[in-house]
Amino acid sequence: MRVPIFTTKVFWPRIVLATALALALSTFSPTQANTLVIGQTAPPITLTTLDGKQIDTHDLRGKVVIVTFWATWCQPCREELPLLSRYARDHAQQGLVVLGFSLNTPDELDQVRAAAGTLSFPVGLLGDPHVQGYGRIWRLPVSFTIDRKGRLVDDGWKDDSAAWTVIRLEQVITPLLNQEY
Amino acid sequence: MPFMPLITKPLVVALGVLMLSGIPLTAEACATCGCTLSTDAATGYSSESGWRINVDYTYIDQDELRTGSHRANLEQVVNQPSDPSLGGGEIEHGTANQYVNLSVDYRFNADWGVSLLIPYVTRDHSTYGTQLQPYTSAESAPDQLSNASVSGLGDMKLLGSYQGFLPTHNLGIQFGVKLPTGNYGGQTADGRLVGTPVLFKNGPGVGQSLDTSLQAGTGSTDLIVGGYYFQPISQNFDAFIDGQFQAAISEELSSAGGNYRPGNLATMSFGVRYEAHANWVPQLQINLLHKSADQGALADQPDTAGTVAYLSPGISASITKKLQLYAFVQVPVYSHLAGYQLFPGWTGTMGISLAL
Repeated sequence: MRVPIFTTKVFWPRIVLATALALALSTFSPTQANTLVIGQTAPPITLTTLDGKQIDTHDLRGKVVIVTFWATWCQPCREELPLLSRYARDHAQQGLVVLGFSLNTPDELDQVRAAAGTLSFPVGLLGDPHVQGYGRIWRLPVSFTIDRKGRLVDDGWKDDSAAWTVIRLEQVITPLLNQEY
Repeated sequence: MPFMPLITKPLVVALGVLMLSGIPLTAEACATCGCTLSTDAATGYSSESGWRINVDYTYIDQDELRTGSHRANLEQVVNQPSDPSLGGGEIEHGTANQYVNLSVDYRFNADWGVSLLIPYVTRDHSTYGTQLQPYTSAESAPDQLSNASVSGLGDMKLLGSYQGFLPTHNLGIQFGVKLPTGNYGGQTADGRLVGTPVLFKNGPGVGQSLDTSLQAGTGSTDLIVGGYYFQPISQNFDAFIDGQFQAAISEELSSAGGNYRPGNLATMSFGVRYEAHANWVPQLQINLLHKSADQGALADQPDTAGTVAYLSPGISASITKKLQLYAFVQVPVYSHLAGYQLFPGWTGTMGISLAL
């Protein structure tokens, strides 16, 4: 008796396996894993602000840059942001730049605009949470600090207390601002 | 709270409505062989508004007779029947099921969504029929085989979902109905056909009705309730859990001697997704299913209850921002079946999901 090939025990496992492999290969993309190393050049990241302006960390050599990730629904972020905003405003003349990447979705744009209006630093939507070199942004808030030479000096993934405080800003950022380029 | 785990929105949005919505609760003949894969977990959860269409194909070959947690042999089925009053038992040979499920989802906003699941069922069933004690090999000779084939629309499901409990939209509930849209029916003890059942097309059983539980539909309207939760647990891993309960609340097959009510069904899935790569996500699911016995004169009551667990590795891939593919294999790792039931050695599912 002829047996249709699709009823054989070996056919479907092979098809499923082959399909899975094909999917994996066809969609292979460069790694977006966390490759951060303190003291090494920080991976570049570009903020597209709410008004469409693009700010690339690569173009900010000579500045101290805080890359911070937040969202309007993140309570710890809401507590941290006013503090960070004040510090950014007070130290802008010393070459501090803060880039705020919001994890909100586009349908929450109004809320993001409202929050951004209270901040002294530029804000934009991140979009895909997989960020080349920084890995997947999987918890909030999280920030990364880049010195005037473009080197990573603070890795937010390794901070037990991820949110900024006055003390932590003074300890981590102020010394960097006092350094010459 | 030092930080909040972020609920990742997949690069390609997932099915608008929830996990088990993609599950054709079919293969009732083996009560515990229905698809259990969590397709929403497979493709990632979403809170993005808009339309999404999902098509998947599932293959389930029930080719192994089992009882309790063990294999059963043919002699056992007849000489130690699940219903001793019959003086024997039905020796089922095999049931090959193929399901093509079309799911149309619409999410109004981050909180609310609806989904319509339309299954197409193709099923080939063969049986040696009920044989009387004592068992002899002649009872399972090839000339004793009867075959029936089912092909048609199955029972559709309409589900709603709400996931506005948390600002991260990672906790949700679902609610809906399964409708008696598939052909259903059976044969009463006195030989009367009820409903529009598929009949055996050859063998000693030619002209008789295929089991009610093997028809494309059950003839019942079922209520469905469920819930789900998912959350990143590290930079590269998400974890999820979902569950669903389904119970018939009215039956089209309700006449005296010709009534049928499918058993209640509870499913739960949990697992992890490896999220290091934006475009392809390997994952592992554990799928649990418990079904109570079918009821009514047309039910094979002793042989339709059970509990099973599947281990389900798979992968989903984003081909474009709007197009996602996924493939899974399910391998049973535990089964405890009432009576004698045909059970699969594995199942396979492939699907494609498109945001419009």
